[in-house]
Amino acid sequence: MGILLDCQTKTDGELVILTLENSGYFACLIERYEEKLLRFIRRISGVNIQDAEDVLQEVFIKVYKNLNAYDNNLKFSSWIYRITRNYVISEFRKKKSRGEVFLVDEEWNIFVSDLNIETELDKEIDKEILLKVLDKIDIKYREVLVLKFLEGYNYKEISDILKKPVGTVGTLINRAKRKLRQEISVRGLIHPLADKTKNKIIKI
Amino acid sequence: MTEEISKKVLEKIKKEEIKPEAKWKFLLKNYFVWGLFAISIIVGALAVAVIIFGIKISDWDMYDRLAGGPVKFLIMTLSYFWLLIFVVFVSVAYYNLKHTKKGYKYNIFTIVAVSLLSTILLGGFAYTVGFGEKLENSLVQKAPFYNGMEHKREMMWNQHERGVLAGKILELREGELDLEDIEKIRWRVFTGSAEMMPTVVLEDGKMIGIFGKKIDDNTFEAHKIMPFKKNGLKKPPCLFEGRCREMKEK
Repeated sequence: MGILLDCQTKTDGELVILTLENSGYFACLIERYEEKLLRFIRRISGVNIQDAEDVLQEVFIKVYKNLNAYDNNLKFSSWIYRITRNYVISEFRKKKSRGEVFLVDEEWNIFVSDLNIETELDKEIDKEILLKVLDKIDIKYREVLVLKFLEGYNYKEISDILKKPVGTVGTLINRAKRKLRQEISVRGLIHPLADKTKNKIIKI
Repeated sequence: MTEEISKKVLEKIKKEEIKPEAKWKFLLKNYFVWGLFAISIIVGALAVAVIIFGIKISDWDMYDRLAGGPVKFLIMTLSYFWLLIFVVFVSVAYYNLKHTKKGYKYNIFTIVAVSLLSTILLGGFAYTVGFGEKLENSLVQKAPFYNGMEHKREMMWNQHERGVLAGKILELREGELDLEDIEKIRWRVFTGSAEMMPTVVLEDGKMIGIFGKKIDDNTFEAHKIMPFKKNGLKKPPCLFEGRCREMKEK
């Protein structure tokens, strides 16, 4: 705990160096990224909280083993997200199953507004249905949407996380938005609680 | 939750005595990728040097007669063996460049362009300093599977149906001669109405090239006779016939 108090003023890079000297400092990095990564894992894989925590532990072990590979020219957050994403993808491929995308309400609103999704009649969207749609699109599109609109990363950071050129990231985001819109329009999303004569149709 | 996860992770690290991988391992991996890239560029460049050498020794002044056009001549001249080596190693260079630490930042066109250009430029330099010829000659002499560019060139002069023939004069007679072609086939060649290039010397044992018309399987009518120079090394016969030791002893 003493170490945890110590680490508030340290940068991620400094904590990496300190962890290599004393593994106790790794707790600082875990504390810094635990919540973010747990959310990220759930968002891209759709696994439940317990499974996500198991994945997260393995991710941190992997991060620890690879600390010497960390290059200061890269943002530590991009590096740790990259490891997480790769691990989740490999696990995802192994198990070939997933649950549903996870979002909390306030993030949902940001997501919807960033994606320029508006209902025809008012700004309310059926979150449950749209989450299912998000879950239906390919993981390569879902992960860019999550990184851009939910994790708030810019193109350069997403490029570092996915190890793809910035231009490709831009293309992926546009395609992902298009896919999401297509999926919504194909399904003609209607709010289940809406008056049947006053259907709320998501227009994007 | 934080304490729980960090505790679990740290306990696992301690219990299983997990240590961060040594830095030299990551550096080695990085150097290995760059090293492979460099090797691929060098091998690809050597292929380019030999390809340029092959193109250079070809009889470009006669492309029309030998192939019917410059593009067809180029296609016939190119060594597909070296072209394959070039393509394979440019691909390996591309793969390695893409897998360097920062390789992902560049789009496919940039990486392909860098791999291609560096291979071709280095290949051009290797040709200029004579590596193309040296490699070609040493392979011709030492590699049993390799026929060489000169062989390819000779085969272009062995298109009887197209009216192209080359070989060694075996016997000269009035208005005709006997010639042994590249494939050791004996031809009777009528030379009475043939145009002689000023530099051609008709003597027994001299190599000549002929444009003309095939009359039958062993008879040819010459329309134009020219000297046939060797532009590259030809595979020594002992490699084919296993006579190297005997020849050396003699």
